[in-house]
Amino acid sequence: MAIAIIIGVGLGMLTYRHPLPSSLATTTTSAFLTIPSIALLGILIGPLGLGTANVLFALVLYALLPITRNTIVGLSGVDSSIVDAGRGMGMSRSRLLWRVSVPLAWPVILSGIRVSTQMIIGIAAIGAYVSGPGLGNEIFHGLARFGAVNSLNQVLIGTGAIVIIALLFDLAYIVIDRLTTSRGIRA
Amino acid sequence: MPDTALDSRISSEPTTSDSATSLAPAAVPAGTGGATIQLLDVTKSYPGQVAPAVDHITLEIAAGEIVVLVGPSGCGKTTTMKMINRLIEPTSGQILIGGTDVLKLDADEHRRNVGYVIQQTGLFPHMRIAENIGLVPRMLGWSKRRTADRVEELLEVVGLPPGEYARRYPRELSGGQQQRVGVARALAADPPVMLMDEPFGATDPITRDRLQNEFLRLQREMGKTIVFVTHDFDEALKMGDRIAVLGPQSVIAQFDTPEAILAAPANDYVSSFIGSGGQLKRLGLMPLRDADLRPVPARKDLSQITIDASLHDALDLMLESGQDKVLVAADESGEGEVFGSIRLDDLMAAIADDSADDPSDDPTAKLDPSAGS
Repeated sequence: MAIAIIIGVGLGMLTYRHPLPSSLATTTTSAFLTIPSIALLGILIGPLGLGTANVLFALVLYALLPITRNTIVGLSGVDSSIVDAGRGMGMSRSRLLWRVSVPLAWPVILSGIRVSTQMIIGIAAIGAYVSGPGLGNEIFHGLARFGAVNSLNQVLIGTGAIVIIALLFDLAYIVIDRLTTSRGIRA
Repeated sequence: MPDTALDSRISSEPTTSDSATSLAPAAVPAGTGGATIQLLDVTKSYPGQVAPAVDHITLEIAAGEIVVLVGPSGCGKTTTMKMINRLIEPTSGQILIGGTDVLKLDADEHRRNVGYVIQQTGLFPHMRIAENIGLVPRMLGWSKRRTADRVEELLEVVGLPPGEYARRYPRELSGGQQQRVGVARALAADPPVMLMDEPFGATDPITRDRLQNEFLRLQREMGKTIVFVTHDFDEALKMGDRIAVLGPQSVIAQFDTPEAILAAPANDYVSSFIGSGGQLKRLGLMPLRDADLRPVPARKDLSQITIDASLHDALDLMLESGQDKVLVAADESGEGEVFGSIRLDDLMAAIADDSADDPSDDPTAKLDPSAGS
């Protein structure tokens, strides 16, 4: 997730001021999203083999779209008069970005991160298919010996745990949002 | 600082501070005065457009004066102004501030030394008022302590008690208060030059009038060099020591004092900008304080007008009271000292005199273009 945030937000920051690269970035990242997860994991067995690296790479690709797109939307949505004032006060481009644009776009960026997280927690379960780590293993084991004693319970436990983790993450993001968004722009 | 010249402009505003409400600015600390601004043959053209946005403008602004650029939307007045702080880079020409060629300076450094106020206030909504005002000083490397002191001082100056406002966010302030913070922010590092792009345009008429008066009062003490952009000619008359009426492509149609422009518009374009009531507007620029008053007449039933008002106000009172003369007194209540009276004939004579006046008699003549060099 952290990798996806760095790449996604970085991509957004680099491209938001220029229409062509920014639409290129959103199109590419949304193209990743259309690839079925099982297929992508399968394809990645070629270069990355089975295991954690494979799953990690796939999850990063999936997480990119919401983060990149929300970063672009958030940054380009900052009121142009505010940017104008900042430039007029003698703020350099990078200072303006970090001190003004990013804090103002932050709620939007964070909601992109939140959507990404929810999405890849679900996809991560499928990672077990290519010997990745995680709760997906419970589900797959259960499904593999379906009909046996406790097999259904195993599936349900795996699924339930994933849902709970997703909810906990969501809760965490709400807290983060409250803590990191300036009181001056909070709705 | 051209104090006397400015005085003539602040006709509708009492010069004594007692009438001021909570808005009265505290004494302004002595700071840097203004610096001259020279635009030499400045042009801005955009690729793909045949006509330049700004076509060879040459403008000289004396230290400490307010020059208003007035013109219709899209005439290039804002572009002209933004070239001074290089938010827009000129295609050709030279811009000098205090003799220094600003096009050779680092653009960001240069902008920190030029105050900038815009219509939408441009306050950063996620920062507290104090942080907003302290930004430029911090960028210039002032210590936290010095910045905090300066912020407090400026909030006092613009009439927002620091204890109450420093820790608030912009959205918790009214439009007029936000614009005051905008002005304070522009003044933070005590720049010699300020650029103001329709700074009071987004406020209601009453607030605007108040902000204008406050700002003029501040300016009388500060003596900054100010470039003020507006499309409102009446605002230009009120704020400007001199007014540059701009036509398309920022071509100067007339550049003179408000009095001179009203008395003798250079062409039809300028006349159309003045609109109707040009002579009434001239009366509005003439303070009773400067008029030759007649002795107090024996009649006691005359209406009274304060000496801080203009000849225009006097005419208005004559029309209202149905009498062809009014008493001029220290205040309107009828209790203060009565200085004299003024008659309708005097108003007519004032307009006629002023038109015939030799420019050298004009109290604002010292602000002639030649004085700036």
